[in-house]
Amino acid sequence: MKAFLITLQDLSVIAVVAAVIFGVRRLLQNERSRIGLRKFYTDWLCVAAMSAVSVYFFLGVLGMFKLPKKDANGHRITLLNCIPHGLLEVLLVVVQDLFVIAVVSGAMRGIAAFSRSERWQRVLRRFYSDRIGLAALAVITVYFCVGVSDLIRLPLPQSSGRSWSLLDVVFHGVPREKNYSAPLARTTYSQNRAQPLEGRHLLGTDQLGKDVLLQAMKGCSTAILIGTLTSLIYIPIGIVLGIAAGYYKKRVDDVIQYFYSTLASIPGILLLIALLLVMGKGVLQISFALGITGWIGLCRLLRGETLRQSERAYCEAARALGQSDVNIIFRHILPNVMHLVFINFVLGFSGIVLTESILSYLGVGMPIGTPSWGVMIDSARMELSRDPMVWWNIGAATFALFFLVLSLNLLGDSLRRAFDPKSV
Amino acid sequence: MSEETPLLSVKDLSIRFATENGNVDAVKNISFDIKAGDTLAIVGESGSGKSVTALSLTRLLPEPPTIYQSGQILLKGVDTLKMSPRELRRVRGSQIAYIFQEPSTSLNPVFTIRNQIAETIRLHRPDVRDIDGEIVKWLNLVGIVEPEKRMRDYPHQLSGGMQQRAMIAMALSCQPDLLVADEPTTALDVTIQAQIMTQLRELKTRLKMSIILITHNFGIVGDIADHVAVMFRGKIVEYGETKSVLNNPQHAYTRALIDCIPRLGAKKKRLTTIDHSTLV
Repeated sequence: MKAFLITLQDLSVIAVVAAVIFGVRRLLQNERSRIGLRKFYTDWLCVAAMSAVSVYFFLGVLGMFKLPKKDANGHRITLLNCIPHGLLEVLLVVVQDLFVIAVVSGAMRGIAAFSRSERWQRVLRRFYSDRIGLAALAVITVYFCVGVSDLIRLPLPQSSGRSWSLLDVVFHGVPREKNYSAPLARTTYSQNRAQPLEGRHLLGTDQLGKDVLLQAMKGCSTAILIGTLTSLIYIPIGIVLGIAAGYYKKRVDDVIQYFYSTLASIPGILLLIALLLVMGKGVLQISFALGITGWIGLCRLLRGETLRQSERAYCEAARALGQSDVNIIFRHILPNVMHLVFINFVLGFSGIVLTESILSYLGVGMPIGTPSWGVMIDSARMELSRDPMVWWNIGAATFALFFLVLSLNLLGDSLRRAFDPKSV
Repeated sequence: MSEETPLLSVKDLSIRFATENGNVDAVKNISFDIKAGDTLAIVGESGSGKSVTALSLTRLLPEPPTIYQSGQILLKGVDTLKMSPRELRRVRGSQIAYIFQEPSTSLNPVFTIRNQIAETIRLHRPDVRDIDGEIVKWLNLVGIVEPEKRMRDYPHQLSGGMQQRAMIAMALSCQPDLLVADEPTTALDVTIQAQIMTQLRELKTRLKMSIILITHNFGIVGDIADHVAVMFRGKIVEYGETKSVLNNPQHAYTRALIDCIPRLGAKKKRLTTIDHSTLV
């Protein structure tokens, strides 16, 4: 019976993969998509991102293939287990680097393309004269660089088993202590058996003797990773559903409204916890849970704006000139609502970072041991009740979180001011 | 297509808007023909069904609430009311193109003129290679000076008259057989109105295309139109050659409309208005 079910699962995986490949091939058959494909192939960025995604997809599919053999714990072995562990690790590291680089340079290129358009240049000019916005942008850039430097990894395992990141390489001289130590102390934080430290730590060390400043910096990478992945999930959903609701109106609108009203009526944090309890802890799980609950605000916003835009004459003119609905949505309406998406992205990012910390604090977010501000705050429950109190751990995490969220909100506000033509 | 077959032939068309508050018959049993190269002016006051008629030609009215109750719209012998959405999209732009009343909102504010015209050219004439050259050609034709420079402008950088010219260039660039101009000069001031009308007249003779001109202003009809249809409360109350209609109006409403044209030198204290209670 079990063997039969496993065969069934394998067969259905094959069927789904074959269907996807077949569908894509059918889609690429006409002339227009072939031209698009040629452009796509000559663009290294698209190729890099696409190859990263397809490696992930491929590994995921391998993980779903079960073999009629069991490992030591009694679980069925998947095809993924057959790949040598070292090779898999190296592959994952390389693919992650590829993906990070593709996303970062893709974002850069997007911003460069936007800033060439005359409308965005006007916005930029207004933004440049906004000192608070610029300061916030500078702070965010620092956070971002630190986070990305921890996301780019070298395919070499550390003694702890994790592979080296660029950040680790830069700070590899920071010694590891045996226990807590206060900021800039010479000995460990213990009243009776204080031992000398191997080095000085600006923000002290945590229970495992790791440097708190370094941990807080590594927390950036988790925050930025989750923020980016979640945005990559929720923004497309919000854009497609929001514009579809506003453009097609009637039944499409009814269905989408019903959908998000239902979702919005469930208390947010409760829904997130429920989702995470089902899916388990981890970066991808959190991003997924936040992504499928986070699109409502953007969807509502875009629906309203699209209702307004689609009544304007240029949509009618485009229709009268024979444009298809899809073309009108993506080439005419989307560029006109893009600034809303942009502002929503910046403001939403801070919300995502905060929610991640809250979830980790509640014990359903990141697994213990990962560098995350939420986990750091969570561990402070014990530390604050100690005598003498350990305050630098929660302090570092809180300040790191506070400044990132504050800067994101300030940047969002100044972007809104810059985009608003009335505020000149 | 024989010489007698009209380019567009509307037969017995009735359009109804079915709303929650009851039905409105916007267009009632109208019929008219346009031959290739011909110009028809549809004249009437607001709410008489002119624009509805124009938009119905390629089924641009939202359905529901619009219901096509009866009739046929034969474009080169094919009924557009029976076409699939795909066929309709092919007709829109490449066979029947539109110019709307408000040039400032008819152009997408976030794209340059060049971008928007290129889009329609790519859509309807995929074989054109030199798209920029084509755009310059059409912008030149509608009388925009320095088209190479102007085509990189955004709509808000152009004046109203220029915007309308760009709009006309966009409509013409698909080389339609029939141009439907829905009150093309209403939003423009009088001098620009005259320029645009002259331009349309010139283009009509040069490109030998048909035009449906929708207007509430009888004053601009005489110069350009071969035929006139006067619409009143959803019906065509008078239809005929421009000269005969203008010189010898049969219907009381047509007479009333013609009387409303302000004349140079006429000593009148008040402008004429239409007393609807006297009309049937």
